[in-house]
This record gives sequence, C-alpha cells and structure tokens, in this order.
Amino acid sequence: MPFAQSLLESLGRDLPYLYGPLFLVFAATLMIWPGDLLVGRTNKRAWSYVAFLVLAAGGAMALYAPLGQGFSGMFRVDGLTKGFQFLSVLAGLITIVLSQPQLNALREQTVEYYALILFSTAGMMLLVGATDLVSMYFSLELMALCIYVLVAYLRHQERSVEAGMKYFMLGAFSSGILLYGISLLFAATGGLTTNLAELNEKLALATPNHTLLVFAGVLMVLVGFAFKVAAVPFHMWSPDAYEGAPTPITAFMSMAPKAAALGAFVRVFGTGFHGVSGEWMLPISFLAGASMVLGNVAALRQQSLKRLLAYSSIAHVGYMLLGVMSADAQAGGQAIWLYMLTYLLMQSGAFAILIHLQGKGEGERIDDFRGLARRRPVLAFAMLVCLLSLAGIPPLVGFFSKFYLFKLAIEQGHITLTVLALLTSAVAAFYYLNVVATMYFKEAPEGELKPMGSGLALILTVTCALILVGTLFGPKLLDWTAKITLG
Amino acid sequence: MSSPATPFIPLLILLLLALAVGIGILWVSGWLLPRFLKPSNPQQAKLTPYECGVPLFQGSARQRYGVKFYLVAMLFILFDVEAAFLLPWAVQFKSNLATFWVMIAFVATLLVGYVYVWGKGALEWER
Repeated sequence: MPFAQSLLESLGRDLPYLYGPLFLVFAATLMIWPGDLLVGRTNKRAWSYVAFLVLAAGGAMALYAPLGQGFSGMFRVDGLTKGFQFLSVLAGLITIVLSQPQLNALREQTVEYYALILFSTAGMMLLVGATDLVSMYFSLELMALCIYVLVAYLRHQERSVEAGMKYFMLGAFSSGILLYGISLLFAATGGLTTNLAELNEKLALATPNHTLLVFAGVLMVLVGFAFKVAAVPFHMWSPDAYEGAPTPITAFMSMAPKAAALGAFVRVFGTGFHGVSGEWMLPISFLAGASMVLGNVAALRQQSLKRLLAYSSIAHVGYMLLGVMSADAQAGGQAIWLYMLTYLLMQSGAFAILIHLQGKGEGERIDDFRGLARRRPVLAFAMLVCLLSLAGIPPLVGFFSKFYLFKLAIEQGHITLTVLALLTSAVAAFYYLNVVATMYFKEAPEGELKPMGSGLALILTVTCALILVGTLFGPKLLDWTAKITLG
Repeated sequence: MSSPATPFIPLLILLLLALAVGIGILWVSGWLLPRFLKPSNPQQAKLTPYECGVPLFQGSARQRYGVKFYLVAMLFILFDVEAAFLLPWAVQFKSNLATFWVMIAFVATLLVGYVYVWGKGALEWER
C-alpha cells in the first residue's frame, strides 16, 4: 500500500511543525468535553488556570518547533512564523489574566470562554505560518469565528450582542470577498496553484494576458485583509465591536488577531504578490494614508476610552501598512513584528488600568480618569508611561518601533506617506495627552477606589517595566528583532 | 422470439413489480395498518406544508418565532456536511487502512462535538 505508507510517512515528517496549535486544539476540546462534565460544575474559575497553563505549554511547543516547510507547501515554520506565534500566545495569556475581574464580577465564568480563546489562538498560530492561500483562508476563519462568539459573550447585555452581530455580518461578508479574490487568482494562474511561492512566478507570467483578472484578484484579497485588520475605509465594524465587546476581549481583539492578520498580510503580499507589486502598491498606500488620517482625527472627539483606543488602533494599523508596502516579507515582517510587540505591551498596560477602573462594565469614559494622579499616583504614572509610549514620544520604546517602521518606508521611497505618518503622529499625541491632562489636572470625584487585583497589578508592572527597560536598549531593538525573526 | 423488445421483458416485469411493491407499501402503511394501530387525533398543525412545527406565515412575515429552530438548523448543517463528506469517501474507498483511519479520526472529532451538544442540552426542545 504505497499510498498509505506515503501518507503516514509525510504525516510523521510534517506533524512536528504543528505540535503547538494541535496541542491547543486538542486540549481545548478535552476541556470542553469531557473536562467540564467530569470536573467543573462548582468552580469554573479554576479553568482560567488550566487554560493559562495549556496556552503557555502550546506556545513553548511552537517556539521549539523545527524550522522547515511541510504539508505540501501549505505551512512553513521560520523565524517570522515563530515571532508572530509568540505575539499571539502572549496576547492570549494576557487576555486570560485581564478577564478575571470582569468575569468574576459578572459571574460569567465558563469553560467555553477559555476554550474559544485557545481555539482562536491556534487559528492565529496556523495563520502566520500559512504559505498557501487555502490554508491561510482556513486558519483565518478558525481565528475569526471564535472571536465573533467572544465579542457577543455577554449575551444578557444588548450592546455586546449587537457588537457581535455587526462584527459577524461584516466579517462573513469580507471572508466572501477574500475567497472570491483567491478564486480569481487561482483562475489567473490557469487553475494550477494557490501556493504563495509558485503563485508569485505564475502571476508575473499571467499579468500581460490577464491584467484585469490579476488586478481584481489581488484587490479583493487586499480588501479581505483590510477588513480583518480594520483599515479605513473597511474599519466601520471596529469601533462598535470594540465598544460593545467585553473589555478583556476588546484588548484581545486589538492585539492578537491584529498581529496574526498583519503577519499573514505581509507574508501573502511580500511573498505571493511580490512580483505584481505594481498592481497593489497604489491601493494599499491609499488604505494606509486614509487609516492614519481618519483613525487619528476621529479619535480626537471620542468620550469613551474604549472607542478612543479603537480609533487609535486603526491609525496604528495605518502605520503598520507601511511595513506591508515594503513588499518584502522579511524586512517588512521584522518592522511590523517589533511595532506589534511594543504596541501589545502598551495596549495591555492601558487596558489593565481601564479594566480596573471599569469594575462591572460601566465607567469607561475618559471623565472617569479625572484626578487619578491624586487618588492613585502610581496607577496614573503607569498610564502615563503607556500613553506616551503609544503616542511615540521620543525616549520611550514606542518611538523606536515607529522610527524603524518609518525608516524602512523611507528606504523604500514612500516619502509622502511617511511625512503624512509623522504629521498624524503629532495629532495622535494630542488625544493621548488629553487623557494624561485629565488624570493630572482635573479635580477628582468623590468616592474610594478599591485596591487593584494581583493579576492586573502583575500585568501592569511587567508591561511598564518592559517599556522602560526597552527604552534603555532602544537602538539595539532592531538587531535583536532581526536575530529573533531570522530564527 | 425474434422481436427486438424481447430482451426488455425482464425489465418490464421489474418495473411492474417495483410499482406493485411501492403501491403496496403505501397502501399497507397508509391505510391498512393505521386502521388498527393509529389513534384518531386530527389537528390543524398536521396539515401544514412544513411538518416541523413552524407556523405558516399568513399576512405579515414580520412575526417573531423561536430561535430554537435556528439552533437545530445549524446543528443539522454541521452533521449534514459530515454526510456530504462521507459519501465521496465511501465511493472512492479501496481497502486501505490509512484512508480508513483518517476518516475515523474525522468522525471521532465530530463525535466529540455531538456529545458536547447533547450534554449541553441543545437537542432538548423544551428546557
């Protein structure tokens, strides 16, 4: 039986690449059934510890996976894959810790919440290593489907359900566009391949005869990705989904899927569509420019901190699209990875404070931060560090990641767009500093703040410490990134 | 014995037999057996086009009805896809252990989902 033998042989050879995500999927399934049936009727809170350990173990397995390519060119493990897998796992771990106060206060602890986070993280880990449009699409859906459910998780709150519904409708629609684009590209190559490396050669050959087909296909894939990373004008779902979702899930959505989708974005466009970069350079530069301008300008007028962070994350995606525009999976991927890592630190610090002040799901307005400096000087200082770093104020680590991204863009000749990015960063500084001013110069309202839980305090301490330490080593960061992402 | 229709006579017999069996089954199960077994309990709902309990829309289509139908429909699609996947596999199947175990793994994965759905009570109509 040669077929059976070759199947088993190739499975034995290729499976080690996937041990991390596979472990997560198996463990999450076992947690739901029979785990929940056998163990946890009484104490659902214990599942958070289990999920944390499982996720950490899955992440470690992925980090120690062998380098190489498998599953007939569908999946590839290299330094970039591992780097983005690390980001997804880190965001998942942070989210599990951030979830505790709200889930306990609302009495909404279930095993499904953690299982969905694990499934979605497994999808991201597959997504960032996908080197075929088909495997890329499937892992994208595994990631997104779980997040739709998580957004609507607080099913007794109307706005959570509404946010989930909006996100699901637009997400499903954009998946259709993405899939149609993939099928057009498949047709343009003569129905031969969806593998990225082969696609690159075939598309360059097909372009003279089928210009419109290639252009439409690439454009539709671009639109699908722009939906997933919420770039203007495909950002409409993002502020509503961010505001309505449970706050820890908002933090998750702004970190993990964004990192994974951008990792896949730069791989697909840098590897697969590298040869036809003339087709998509102009559309993507419009996306980037519009995201920077609209994200930052719209954030100026927000009263809710969650919406402010949503709009500012649109702007940050605009900056990171500069990395995708380098049309080089390695260099662009490095710059995006470093940016995403620092963004993840700052964002999780800010969300830890937001969740602490929020309590049971109310009070996320910027006004709630009035006089925080007088009531809780340490908290206010931590928030100051996170916000200034988000704004990219020079000595902090957020400045260096922006600097490397813009440097790459200038080297690639995107001068106008880089100038626009610099100008809009100045606008961004205004609304971040507005929050700082509210904390330091406004009168505090009456009432006592309860002490911070140990989990949140741990996250906040670690992220702030890392931001400050990273500041000291700023000039070396890119060298280290290169070492990590080259594997 | 030289008529060109001769080879088709067995086919005609088969056709007549099939008709007889079909009509016979309909007659036995629809008329003969019910006379002895069926409780007589006529209801309006039994005459609706879709015998699944969804009230027929008359007039406005904007009425509210149970979200439970959607749950059942989703579960149905999930396991329907399994059947759609099993059929081509069965047609192509040649005695081969690897393909067998691959499909067993797929069905086992779905089985876990099925047991979960059952355990959560999603298959209970009244809760």
